[in-house]
Amino acid sequence: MSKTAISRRKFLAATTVAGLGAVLAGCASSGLEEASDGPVAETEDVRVVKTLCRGCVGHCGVLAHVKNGRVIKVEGDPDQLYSQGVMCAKGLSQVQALYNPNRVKYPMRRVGKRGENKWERISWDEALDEIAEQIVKYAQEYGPESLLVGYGGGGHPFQGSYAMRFLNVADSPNIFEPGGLQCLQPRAVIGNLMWGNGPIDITSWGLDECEDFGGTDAKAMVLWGINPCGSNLGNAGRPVNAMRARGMKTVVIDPRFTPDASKADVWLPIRPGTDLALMMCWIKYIIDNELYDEDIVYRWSTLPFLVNLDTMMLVRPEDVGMEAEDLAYVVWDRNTNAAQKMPYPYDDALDPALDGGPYEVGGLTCKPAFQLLKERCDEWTIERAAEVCWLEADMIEEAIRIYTDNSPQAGLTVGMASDHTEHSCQAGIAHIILNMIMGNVCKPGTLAQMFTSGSNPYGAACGELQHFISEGQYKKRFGITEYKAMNNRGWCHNSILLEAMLTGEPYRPHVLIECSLNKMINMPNAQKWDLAFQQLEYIVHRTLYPTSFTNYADLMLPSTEWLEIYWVGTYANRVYVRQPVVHLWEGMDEPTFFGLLAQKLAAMGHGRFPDSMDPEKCAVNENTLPPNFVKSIGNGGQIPWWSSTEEMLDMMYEQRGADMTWKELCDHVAENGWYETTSSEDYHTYETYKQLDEETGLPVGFGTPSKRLELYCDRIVTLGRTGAPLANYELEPASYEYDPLPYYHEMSESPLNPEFSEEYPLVSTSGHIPMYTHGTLRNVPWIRERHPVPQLSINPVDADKYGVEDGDWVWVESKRGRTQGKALVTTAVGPGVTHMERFWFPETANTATKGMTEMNVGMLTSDEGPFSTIIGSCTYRGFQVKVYKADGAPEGVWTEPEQFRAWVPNYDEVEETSLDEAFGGVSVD
Amino acid sequence: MVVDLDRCIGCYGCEIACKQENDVDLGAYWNRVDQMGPYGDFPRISAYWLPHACQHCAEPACVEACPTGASHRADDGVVLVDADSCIGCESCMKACPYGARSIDSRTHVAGKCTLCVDLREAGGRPACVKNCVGQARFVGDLDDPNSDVSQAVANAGEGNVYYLADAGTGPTVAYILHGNICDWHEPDVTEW
Repeated sequence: MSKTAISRRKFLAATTVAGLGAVLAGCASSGLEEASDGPVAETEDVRVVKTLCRGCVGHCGVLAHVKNGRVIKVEGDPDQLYSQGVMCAKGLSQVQALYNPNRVKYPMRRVGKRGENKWERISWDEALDEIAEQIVKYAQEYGPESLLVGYGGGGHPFQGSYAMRFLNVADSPNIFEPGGLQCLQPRAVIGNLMWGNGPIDITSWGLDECEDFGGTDAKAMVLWGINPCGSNLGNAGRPVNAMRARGMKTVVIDPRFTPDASKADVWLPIRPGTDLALMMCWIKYIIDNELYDEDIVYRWSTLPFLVNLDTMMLVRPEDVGMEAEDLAYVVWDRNTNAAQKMPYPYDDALDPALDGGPYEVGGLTCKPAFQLLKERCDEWTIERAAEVCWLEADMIEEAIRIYTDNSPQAGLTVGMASDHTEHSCQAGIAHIILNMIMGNVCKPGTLAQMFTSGSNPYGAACGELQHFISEGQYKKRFGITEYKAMNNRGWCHNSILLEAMLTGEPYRPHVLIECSLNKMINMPNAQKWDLAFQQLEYIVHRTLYPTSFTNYADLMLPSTEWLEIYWVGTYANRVYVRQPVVHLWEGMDEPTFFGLLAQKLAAMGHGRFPDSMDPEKCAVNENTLPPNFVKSIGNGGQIPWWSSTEEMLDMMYEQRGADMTWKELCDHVAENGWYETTSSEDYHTYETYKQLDEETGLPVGFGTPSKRLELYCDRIVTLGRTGAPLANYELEPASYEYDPLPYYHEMSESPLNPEFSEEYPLVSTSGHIPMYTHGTLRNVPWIRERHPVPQLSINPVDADKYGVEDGDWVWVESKRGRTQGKALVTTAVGPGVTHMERFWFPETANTATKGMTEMNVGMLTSDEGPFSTIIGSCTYRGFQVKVYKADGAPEGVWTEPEQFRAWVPNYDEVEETSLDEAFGGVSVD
Repeated sequence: MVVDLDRCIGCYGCEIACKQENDVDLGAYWNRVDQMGPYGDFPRISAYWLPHACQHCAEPACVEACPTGASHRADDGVVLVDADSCIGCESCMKACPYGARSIDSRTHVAGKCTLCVDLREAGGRPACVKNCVGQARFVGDLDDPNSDVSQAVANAGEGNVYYLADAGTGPTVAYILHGNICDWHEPDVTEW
């Protein structure tokens, strides 16, 4: 048979890069193996490197095909347990991102005015010297809090923990991370407090908990404000889809008719911003119909315990004149009609009352926690929820029954939707209750599990040196008193920071090292941030390519794509590696950047940087913990700074007593597919809470201080009063009490509020589509030609009402500003609702619009309160807009495939470099 | 090729897998996914996604139209184009009822799905099949009752397997779709 056009072209393309040499960085000698599914080309030597994707927050397995030192394609790695060899559009387009002509290639110093796009190339040594000098200069003049570091959710393949460590050593309290307060963390903090294991969220971590590995599939899954087939596709979408095909029932609760909704048994197109009301309706239905799991509720949860109505705290025996006993609480016993001490784990002689009260006990007025939950949810009948959430009552009941009829072999997973509202933490509380109360925990087929991967010394996150920041500086964190859940990871409150940048109150930051791609499509009310960034004196932007944000930068530094970086992904009982497959130009990854910059500052004798080079001072022990430090932190990864990521990993592995170095780990993975921490059978152990503790002879219980599922969690109350257990130091009480039970109020910009709805009649939401994560890939031809501009989805009823036709350019306007989109007239959203994804445009990034005003939902979202309680989330979804026809497309935005040819890789201009030599000899002595 | 539309999640990943594997020109698609629907009245609506490419017809109109013999049907039934003999006359493009072909603006040669002939010859699977997140695609010999594709069709049950409208060409790509996901709707192939 004759050769086809394809193979001939491929051969020609390959011969043009022969002159580039075959420099493979990192594990060039180790992570190579034969292709498993047929070689890519028939004549040349193609080698395959196993690595992990970072096209989104997931870590799908990747086989990178390398020919003459160049990655010619990527495909899925069947060895990865969750992704099993599949790969989505984002990951598959990586070659066009990696070799994109638009990439920042060298450190560049601004020579024109800010935003003028005039730069001169400088060395890494000069760049790091300059940054260090600026940090020291402003710290001396205005204090260490003059420094901000921004990173995270902007869509960079960010690596985490290094920026926080850097700021802790710099004695500056403010990490600037848009996702911290409205992406996962509201639920993560709550989940950790309530049951010791985080939120139930399949798109943030992927899904091993209930797919059939030695266990069984879930029989039903509720996908609440989450679309695994559009976000983290390989790690979460694939398993959900596979289980659905094997018969798992699904309920999808989403204003959008997503692909997951199209395959659901019931789709509830909920009004944006009302999810919490529906959750409370589900809880009420379960309580009223006594569908809850009695074993879990009575024996393993705090719901039967009495709550002191004055303090909101669970009553302990000593509070009411009983003898104190570790892990004991007080119940109202129906057998004796009196308060009794409930020891751990349980006393079968007692018959605790779940409802009733108030009971007078030892001078306290109390009710069972269960009764308080019941009262809180009492108004939320199905009919009331249907009215408020714009749903049909019979469909709500059908959905609840699918969940309850299949429990306890089911799960309810939430996503970002509620994090983007004023209810973020309350929805976090409600989703934990909904899983646990049905007994969907630690059983085959449940999402909530406590699997442990045994002793695993391998990881990539470093110790954050939280003991380095001083008490006084720590307490200067923006928002630290009112929104104490922020302290879980050390983020500051963005809107309070925004006001500080604009007004100087309570103090003004001066220097920003920004490590995310484009804050301007991730911050609410982008136009206000535009003014704020202009107030800062010195801005560094580590980025893959120039974005809207680069217009504010004084220094533009080349960062790295995911085929150039390190990471370790532990999925179930398996460890996988992300390893540098190539290295291009002078890109520097995040650990190396902060490691070298820290060493510069140490050499200058700045603050505690010299101490951070001393292993003894990095270690956490009684000698190194400062006075008044109350948080429990571990010693893992608390090492001195490094000069390369590999050095850092090897130091950490040695500290943890690992058998292998990083390179040896890569070799092991290449040979075996993964590193196994424990057997699959040991990993997939159910009902671990019932296992007996060898010392006490009692069940080990759950990962909470009470060892129970704290479905009434009075530590949430304590958090608000003192900051414990999340804050480094005891904090002043917030101006309000943190409520451990869910409560609903209408969003302040609600369609029921005429102040907004008269002018802005439509309620808006947003979400991921499968082509993009956050701000990524807008410069990748294969992606942009397919989805060049965002779609504004609007129901035909509203399209008629507002004179909009399918395909029209429209304006979308909120109280804060307006932006454009292309109308998609569709019943995939209900009447009164709109959906649009956020967008920015690399092709106009250096124009007056900064590429951020044309079609950016961030122009519409709210930076103003009311914020959610406990953590302080802003409103990104569930606010009011109006939609009207525009005259045409915004100027300069590319929509035709041919226009994207400018971003097709030109391999003649690609510089492959060795990691060892790329930085031109940075001096750190 | 068999595509299980119950499992296709409309992620468009196969479009990119195809582009990467076959270096398909900007603006051209050898494999494309279109949303069908939503149908019905809100909120009781239904939809599916329809990936479409060369149907590897039993009686391919493109082969008949090709003046040079570049377009041909290989022994295994896969329709291919011999680039060396192709003169870029577009006759095959016009003849194909399914809009599956395009002329590459860089090489002026007709291109279309080959079911990744190079990968298959090396013992592998087409890029769209192995990377499919929905695990919805299968490739093999429909004449062999024991093949994966034949099994998938048999398991789908009668009345749940569809083909694109036959324009006398005998399209061979089978689509599985069950009514609990959505009813089959005949796509308007003239828009492809």
